[in-house]
Amino acid sequence: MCESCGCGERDDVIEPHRHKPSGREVPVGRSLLEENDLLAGRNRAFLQKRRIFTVNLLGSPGAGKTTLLLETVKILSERWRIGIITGDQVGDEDRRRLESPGVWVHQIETGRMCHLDAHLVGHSLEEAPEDLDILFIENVGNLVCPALFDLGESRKVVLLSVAEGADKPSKYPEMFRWADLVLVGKTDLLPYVEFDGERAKRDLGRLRGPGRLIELSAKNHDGISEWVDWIERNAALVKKS
Amino acid sequence: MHEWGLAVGLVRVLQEEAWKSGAARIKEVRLRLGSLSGVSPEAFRFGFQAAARGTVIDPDALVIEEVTARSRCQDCGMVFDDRDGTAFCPNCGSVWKELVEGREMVTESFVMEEANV
Repeated sequence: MCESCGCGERDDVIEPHRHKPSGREVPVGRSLLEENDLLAGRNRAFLQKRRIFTVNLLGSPGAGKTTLLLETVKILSERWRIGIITGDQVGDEDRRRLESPGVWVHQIETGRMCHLDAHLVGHSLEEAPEDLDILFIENVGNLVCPALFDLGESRKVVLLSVAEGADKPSKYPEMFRWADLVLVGKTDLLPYVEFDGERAKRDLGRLRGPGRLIELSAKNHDGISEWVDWIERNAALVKKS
Repeated sequence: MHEWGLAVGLVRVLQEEAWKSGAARIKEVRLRLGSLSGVSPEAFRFGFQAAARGTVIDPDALVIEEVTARSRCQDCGMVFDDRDGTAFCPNCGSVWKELVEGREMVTESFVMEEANV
């Protein structure tokens, strides 16, 4: 079936029958992600040189990424110098929400783009203070496109809220497959929503093997210490490297 | 619809390659797309047709070879088809696996018409 619009056209109708054209064949061997990956490599080198542990935080719009960051940063900023790059299509509402004394916050407005890429993040890093210990990159809320684009982060973390439903990992596999850590958020809502946690864990297992998963709530702080501990252990390793 | 940005990038790369090799026209472009690349072949083709218009590249030049992802079992070593990345080892049932291929999105080659022909 046609993937773009679901019109039921047969795929083979779309590619016309062709004969091998005459002419010289020139080998290329270049990836479509070449430019992004090159810039991501530069970001990674820059961040490693400054010993900054960097989390690319991904998830749906409304998963609770900003609220989770607010609560996380309140705890971490007592011990570490924190930076946040936050991406949205329009506006600087997240920057204003996240701003607090001692925390560097930078808003990226992507305009029509549905994801952050290494180029956008690279320009943001030019403005970052030199003494950061931990950097969070809050990606554009989207479970599809941001999965493809390496930003130069140390770890990819995907936040799935119980309100979204347990079927999301199986419906958006690319997003969850390459996650270093999956967070299941808004667990305070469990009495009010249908969330089959066992199904989510089974599907995640099929996608990524027995990977790390933390259940938490930014509202009542259940599980937050486990998450903060994971960040601090990683940040300490990066400091020592 | 990240395919649009990737298609524009490919057209830019091809224009650069065309200039380097003295091509007057690019008539065929061979692309390998893995089943776990996260790129829809159809959306990509649509973007490429639009992006190639008005360049030395024929908008219908794209030939996409789809590669089915394969994984290797880390317990028994068997290599198996893993098209959507959710398969367990069919031999021993292990969940520990590494991807052998299937994430690639590589422009392999193009066929060109030389400027002085």
